[in-house]
Amino acid sequence: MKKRILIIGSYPIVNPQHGGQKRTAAIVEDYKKFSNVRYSAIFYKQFYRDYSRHDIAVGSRSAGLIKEKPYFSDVYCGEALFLEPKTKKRVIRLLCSFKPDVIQIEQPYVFIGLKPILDELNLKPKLILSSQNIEYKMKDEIFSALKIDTVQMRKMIDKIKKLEIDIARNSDLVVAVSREDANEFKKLGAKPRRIIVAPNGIAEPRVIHKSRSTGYFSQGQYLVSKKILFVGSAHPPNWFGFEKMVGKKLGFLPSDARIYLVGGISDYFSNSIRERSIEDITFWQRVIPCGRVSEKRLGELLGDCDVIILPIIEGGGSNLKTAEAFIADKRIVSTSYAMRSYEYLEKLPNLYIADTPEEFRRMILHALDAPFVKRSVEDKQLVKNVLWNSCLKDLTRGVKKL
Amino acid sequence: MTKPRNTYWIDLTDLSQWGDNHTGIQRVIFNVSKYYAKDANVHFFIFDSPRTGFFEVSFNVVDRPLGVVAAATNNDVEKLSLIKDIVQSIPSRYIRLLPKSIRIGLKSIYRKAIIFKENKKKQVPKEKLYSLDKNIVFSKNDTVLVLGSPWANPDMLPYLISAKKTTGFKLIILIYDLIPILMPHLFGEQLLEEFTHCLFDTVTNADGLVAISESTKRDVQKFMNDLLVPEIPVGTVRLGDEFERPNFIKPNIYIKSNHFILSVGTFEIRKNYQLLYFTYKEAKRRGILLPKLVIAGRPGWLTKDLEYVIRNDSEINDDIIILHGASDSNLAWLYKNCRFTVYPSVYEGWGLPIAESLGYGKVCIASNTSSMIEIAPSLVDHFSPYDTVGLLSLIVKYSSDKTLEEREKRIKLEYGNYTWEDTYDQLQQFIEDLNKSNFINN
Repeated sequence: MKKRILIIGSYPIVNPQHGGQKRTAAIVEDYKKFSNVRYSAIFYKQFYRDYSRHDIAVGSRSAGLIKEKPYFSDVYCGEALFLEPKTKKRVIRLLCSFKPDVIQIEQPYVFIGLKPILDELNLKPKLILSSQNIEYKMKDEIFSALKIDTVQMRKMIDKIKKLEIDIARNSDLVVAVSREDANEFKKLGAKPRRIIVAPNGIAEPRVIHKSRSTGYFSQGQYLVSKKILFVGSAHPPNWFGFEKMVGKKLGFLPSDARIYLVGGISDYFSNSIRERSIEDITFWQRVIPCGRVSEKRLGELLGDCDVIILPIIEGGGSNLKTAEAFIADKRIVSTSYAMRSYEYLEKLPNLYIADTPEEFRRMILHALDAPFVKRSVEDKQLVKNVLWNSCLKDLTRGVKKL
Repeated sequence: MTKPRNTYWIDLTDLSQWGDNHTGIQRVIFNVSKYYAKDANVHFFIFDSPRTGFFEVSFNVVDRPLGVVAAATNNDVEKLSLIKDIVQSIPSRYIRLLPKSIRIGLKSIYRKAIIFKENKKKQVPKEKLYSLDKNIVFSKNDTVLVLGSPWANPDMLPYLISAKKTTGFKLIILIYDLIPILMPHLFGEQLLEEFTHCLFDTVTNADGLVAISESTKRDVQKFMNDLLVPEIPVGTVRLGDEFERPNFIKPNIYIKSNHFILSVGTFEIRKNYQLLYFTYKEAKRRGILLPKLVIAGRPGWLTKDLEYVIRNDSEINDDIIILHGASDSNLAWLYKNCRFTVYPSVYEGWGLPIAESLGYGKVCIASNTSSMIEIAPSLVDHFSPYDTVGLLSLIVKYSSDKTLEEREKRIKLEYGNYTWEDTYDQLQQFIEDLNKSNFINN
């Protein structure tokens, strides 16, 4: 008989947009091959337009708290499981009707409310913690980047750390996205034999094709012949990394080069760069904000670009965009940090690693002019390891053994 | 001086739009171009905005006798000022919230109002002075020289850059100043963005820049450093100060020869006439009698209120005369008959009126910032543009006939006019050196 696996997370996975949603959706699809799997999110409705009937939106009490302090939305959603009567009722109904053999928790927050419910119902399913970051560290980094440091923030980070220790020690499996995170979980008390590394990957390669125009493109009357691509959400590590490693002073770029910002990162800069400094004014003479685009359009942008940049220097987990960059088979300028979990790809041609802003900028220029080296058959095979079915194989094996 | 060996193309777009007197930038373009016009390897062109193309023209289209500057009609100026004022009055924080398409539209209306207003004042002749039938094809070994201000013709620059990218010609641009970037508060709201865009395009595409002063050279190099723009050659030229001496015609104001001091320059906030106003007020307060002051210059940025105050302050409005629309002949008379000149500008790219004054043999006292200290450091007394008392003491100093005569003698002996041919020679030397070095801006 197939295992019954209930996965509970903090965001819906219908029409996945950000990395967390894509990863969770990939795991659910993978589990479907060998188990009876159900996914349910406890989430805040204002953040997500698309969701399924199994997803549970938090009530007005939690919504009010989240509105006030959006950076703790995941904590408040986790608390809502137990503190909001309607939410609790639905979760109990789900647990009683589905009767899971295994409960997998995507990010530790849902455990805040789930643990007392399981105790109340005297349920003892196998427990899997699946996390993309060491959450308490990531929150700390985010608040440092935003220059927020209050007593309340410190208390909350402490609370999250204790939660992660509790769940790491008590889980039957702990799923980390990288070896570094796996080591961190060991330090938090997870048993080494129960830790599995399942890096982020991507689905079957999206269709990457060149648009019809060739040679020069135009931005108004300007000819653009060199395209640099940065795809990312408005997640702080993305814009922080860009500002640090590339910066707003873009005079170093050739006058026919442009950086195309795709995704939430584009909206972030469109909203934040409105000042009257010369850096801000000239920023838009070298940057094209594409906003959020369709898959087809993203495929075109990937097909047409000359260089993909990965200026990530913090933020935990591993980067989906790193995997996407390798699948696109373009010149890549990356930090070592962005290569976490993909160290095995560092020998591939057309990859330039740089860890200081000066070096990163220099590498962008170098990459724009460098000859493109075709991948060997072995290289192409190696890259296939970034696909989900390869990234999740150890996880699948581990879950099947539970 | 080595004459141009390759084909030179010199942009006359800026100059071709002016129908009358050559002032400031237009004077530079005209006086330098006339030396280039003697060479068979040199051609001239203009950029036609509606047809978005470059067309060859003869230098004759701009080689016209000097005429009299006529002021635009009051109604025209008022209507266009109103459009400009409406757009300027919208706070920038609201403009930023508007959709991009509307922001672009507002900017376009504003710019057209400015240009239309300027053209009205210039009274561009109705008939075209040139025909647009010789479409230019630039080639790789050409040198293209832009002596005007790219900001004045922002439509041209992207096309010029694109032509350069596809052809590979050498592009050299003259830089006058960066004041809208250094002191944006002294200009209207939209100017900073437009000017910065143009300057950024200029420094990231030109193969060489020529600044009109060491001060401007430092400013442009700092701009490039601040934005991580790779270094390109930046030279300097000294602008000629030999001026056509037309008839001397007294303007229609009540002043007596040798009984007034003169300040020449656009009546805009940067020229700092507010300092002169406060200096005259301080003199009154101290019981010091000063000569009448004539301020000659067309209206400019952000001085409506100042003009109102000066004209309506009964304590000094007999002492300070504001004169808009003076012709070259009027200016010549004013220079010849003033006691000395004052130039209190906050910041300059060069400071032509200082050189003009010395050219007329007249003492000049000027601000001690930017390029103004380069012109004739041993012959010009300087003061801080924020120092009322400092300026007052210099005006009092040169109110003494003896002191004035002594300095005038030195000016006559020591100040030699710098000719436009000298400017041409310096510019040509820079271009030759650049061509020898084979530097190309990628």
